[in-house]
Amino acid sequence: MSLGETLRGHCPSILVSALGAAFGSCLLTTIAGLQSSIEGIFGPGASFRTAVFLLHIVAGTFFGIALFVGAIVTANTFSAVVAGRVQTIALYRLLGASAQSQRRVFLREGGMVGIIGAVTGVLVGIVLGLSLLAALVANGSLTAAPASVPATVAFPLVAGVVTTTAAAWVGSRAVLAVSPLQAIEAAQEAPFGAVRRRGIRTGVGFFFVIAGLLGLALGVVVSLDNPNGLFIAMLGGMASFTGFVICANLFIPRALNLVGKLFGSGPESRLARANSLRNPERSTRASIGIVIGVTLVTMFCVALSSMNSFFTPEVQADPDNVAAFQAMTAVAVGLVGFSVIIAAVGVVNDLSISVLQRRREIGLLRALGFTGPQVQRTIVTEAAHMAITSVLLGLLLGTTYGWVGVQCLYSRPMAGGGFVVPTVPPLLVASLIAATVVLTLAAVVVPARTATAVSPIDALQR
Amino acid sequence: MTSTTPARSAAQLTSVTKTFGVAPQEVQALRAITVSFNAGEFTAIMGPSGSGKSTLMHLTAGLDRATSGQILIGDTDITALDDAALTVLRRRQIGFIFQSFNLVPTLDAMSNIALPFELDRRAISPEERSWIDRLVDELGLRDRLTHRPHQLSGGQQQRVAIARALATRPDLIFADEPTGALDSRTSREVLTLLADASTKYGQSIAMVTHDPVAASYADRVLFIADGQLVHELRRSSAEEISRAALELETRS
Ligand SMILES: Nc1ncnc2c1ncn2[C@@H]1O[C@H](COP(=O)(O)OP(=O)(O)OP(=O)(O)O)[C@@H](O)[C@H]1O
Ligand SMILES: [Mg+2]
Repeated sequence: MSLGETLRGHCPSILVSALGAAFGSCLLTTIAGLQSSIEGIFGPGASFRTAVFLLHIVAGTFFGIALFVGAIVTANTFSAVVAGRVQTIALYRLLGASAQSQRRVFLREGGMVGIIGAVTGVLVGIVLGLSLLAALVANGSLTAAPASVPATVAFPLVAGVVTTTAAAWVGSRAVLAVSPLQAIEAAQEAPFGAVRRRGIRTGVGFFFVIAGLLGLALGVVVSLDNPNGLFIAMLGGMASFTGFVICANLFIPRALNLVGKLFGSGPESRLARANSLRNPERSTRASIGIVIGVTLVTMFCVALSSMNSFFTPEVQADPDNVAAFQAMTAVAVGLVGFSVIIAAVGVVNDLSISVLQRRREIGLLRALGFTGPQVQRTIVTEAAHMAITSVLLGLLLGTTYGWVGVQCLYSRPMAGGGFVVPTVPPLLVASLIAATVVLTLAAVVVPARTATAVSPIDALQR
Repeated sequence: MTSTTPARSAAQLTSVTKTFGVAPQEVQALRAITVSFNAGEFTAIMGPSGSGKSTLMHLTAGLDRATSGQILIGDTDITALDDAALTVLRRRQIGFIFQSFNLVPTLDAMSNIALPFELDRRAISPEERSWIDRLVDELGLRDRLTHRPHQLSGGQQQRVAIARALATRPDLIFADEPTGALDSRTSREVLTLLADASTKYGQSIAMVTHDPVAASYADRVLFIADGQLVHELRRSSAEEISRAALELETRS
């Protein structure tokens, strides 16, 4: 295989790795610029050090989230690439190659993808960061300072390469299951629904979920008369969310099934539902990124707007406060929303690949009398299942976390120990729904077209 | 069903030509072939590799378009139909049994059998229901209905495909090497089922095969070579069929 051919299947991974690295280096470049500009005015001061340190922590957190979502997408992409190369891998195995050596091929490709993506991304991020600073200087928000590239951009570079490679390793585990026999037999599709048994992982996940939920509840109760409740709730939130992500492969397929049932029982929606459940691990990994992103966005929005409702109407109406509030929301949503973009790349990729891999099945349906538009509707429905499920889960989790946060912060001083009613901003819900529709349509254009181009004769050819 | 009365045809091809590609790489897969598939008959199509058997089947089933000529399914000229109309025709009037990968992997056996009705967005009538029940029992699928394709043996999968093809009582069932992936005992079972479907229920079937034994189950055997119909036998033994095939090969 030529380099170009090898890289083609990895385009989404390169893009994801580049997006992550660009995000990181852009944040760091911007922070460094702000720091040198402020130090230019006030001189280096210890109090700024703390502020800058905190900024780095915040940036690191957002970058970490983006990196994590990116790693999930990359692992998914790699497992899809493996699925596409099963015949070749089986042939190598038949001729005597070891499974490990075959898997190392993917590790090497992962490294390559990581390097290409991260280097490109870091460079793009630096340029973006510097342009942002220049723009701030130009509109007078910032005093000019010598532009420089901080040494810290090495971090997103290294982190990008390492996580991409690691994700490639995780995603290529399926190589170990390829049997040399698959080169000889016209292999039946591997039985799906047969989820790998992972008792330990499930156990750990459930432990985190339950401990986390207890922590959240305890935090709410404690905070009624003790400010440390927030801290307990925060730990609980982190633990329960980690647990949810760990055993998402148990929750998400069930949620997909439920949402799928809402679409009625026509042939298109039945097939779409069956498809989103055919490989639960894969649908989980395709959806989890969106769930994470939407959860965080919702959490920030619910927390901020619930907080806002505590202020007196006069404070709320003050245009300065309104502007500050909106700016804060926008920055938080923008930073978290970035991981949603990365997750979206994963959804698009997942759908395209799943259509390519189902050519014969689609051909069979066409031969049996499925019309082109019916095939198209099936694919759109499948994407809609995934998007709606992820957004609903994210809204639910995000509202819970946001509410707990506000409750812990404000119940004591403001509400005198009472309970806070969470505010879910309608604008948030509306824009999430709009984003879901746009994402679904964008994700589905190419795969749906590919699917209708499948000729029924494909089903008859071996 | 006697061979003396002129049979009504389930499908009729008149001087059909199919050309792939453009000169100089042009391939004539079918050369002005005229064939009729008689209603209620089990017809086998034989011929060397590349002779145009699959192409013939694809065109007759409305899966691909003829370069020229006329193709009638029942009374409908399908060369005049657009893709949507062809799809509906396939759904209602044609059945398929392929060599392998006949079934939608995400659906269980019963849903696969019911798929043509579902694609038609049509409820199964009580009369059709009892017909399907009968097919399921006769094909020995009763205790396999909730199994997914990967939980079925190759022979069982073929039987599900046969049940699905018979369920809508199509004008014509096409089978492209339906026993190509089966062992000889399972093949015999499947072929007996197809032959029975045609004798008992008057189902018209067209089967492409390389195997003289398979062809010996048919009422009529057509020999194709180089995109043309070159020979035809009524029901014959496997020996007679191989002899005829061999003769045709040495003649060319
Ligand atoms: N899509 C296509 N493009 C170009 N040529 C084709 C195409 N499909 C078939 N042909 C050519 O048409 C001729 C007939 O092919 P066909 O598949 O009908 O043969 P067949 O009798 O079914 O052979 P086999 O027994 O090997 O299945 C062959 O020469 C083949 O190469
Ligand atoms: Mg053929």
